[in-house]
Amino acid sequence: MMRVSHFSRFMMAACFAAAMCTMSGCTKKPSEEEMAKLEEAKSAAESAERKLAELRRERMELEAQVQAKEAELGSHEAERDELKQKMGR
Amino acid sequence: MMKRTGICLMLLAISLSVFAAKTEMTYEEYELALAGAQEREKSAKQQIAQEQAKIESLKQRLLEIDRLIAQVIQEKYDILGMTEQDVIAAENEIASIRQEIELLMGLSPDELAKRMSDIKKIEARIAALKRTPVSYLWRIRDQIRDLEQMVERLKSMLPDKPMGYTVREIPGRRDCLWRISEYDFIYGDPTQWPRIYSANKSIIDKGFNRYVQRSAEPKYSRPEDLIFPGQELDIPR
Repeated sequence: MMRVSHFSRFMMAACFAAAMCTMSGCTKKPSEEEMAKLEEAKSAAESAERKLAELRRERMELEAQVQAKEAELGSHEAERDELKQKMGR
Repeated sequence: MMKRTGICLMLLAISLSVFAAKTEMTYEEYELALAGAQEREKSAKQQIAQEQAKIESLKQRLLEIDRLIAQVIQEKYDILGMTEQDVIAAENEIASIRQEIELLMGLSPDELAKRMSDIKKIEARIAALKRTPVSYLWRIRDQIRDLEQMVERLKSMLPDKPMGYTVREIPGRRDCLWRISEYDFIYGDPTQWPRIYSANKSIIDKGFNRYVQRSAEPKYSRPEDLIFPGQELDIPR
């Protein structure tokens, strides 16, 4: 009975002390202004990454268009060459 | 009672300390997070600049290819001695023919049989198109081919009996509307000859008028009494 009672009191004191240390700020913490700066930096990074993703999509679409147009040009050139042969020019 | 209270307080203190540790950032953690975010932004902006350069280059390439396509198309027109307007006119004619064929396709076989002259006119228009230089262009040539296939499909919808008859030269016998009408594969009834005459009046009258002009003493006085070998007659159903 005595051991249990001592142990309980010891544990209570130790936990209280730990909680007080954590809540009262024994280590250095960033200020509210600094936290706001961090949020701004994160937001700017996300915005830049979104813009990058958009540009990548646009580039891929343009590459597909260039491919299609080059195929179309090839077809026109083949037809022109055939006409030259047929008409003897 | 005291023991229980103590244990509860202990558990509460542990929970609070864990919670507090989780929500609060140390300064070191803050600096790392800030550096990380700034690095991400910097890297993204560098890649943005690269992507923008590639996009600009692709747009220039597209403009260049469009210019080359226009140039090659003009070369084709020059080879054939025609203009863009000729192509547009041909495409309009093709669209018009297609529309007429589609209308005829909506008719029953017997109704279609009565429109043989329309089918022949369509075939004549297609033949005229094929004689133009514009028909050498691949896209026009392919569209004309489609029209010809449509006409074949249309003709396959006609009833089984022949819709046309070519006047023959039969030794010892003269082909005439009465006899033609009598054939089993035509009407099987000679008294139906006026239907053939009505359907082919212009051809028969034209032939008769030429005969009258060339003959000093014409033997026949009525156009329907005289048809000539080689004349192609529509047989209305």
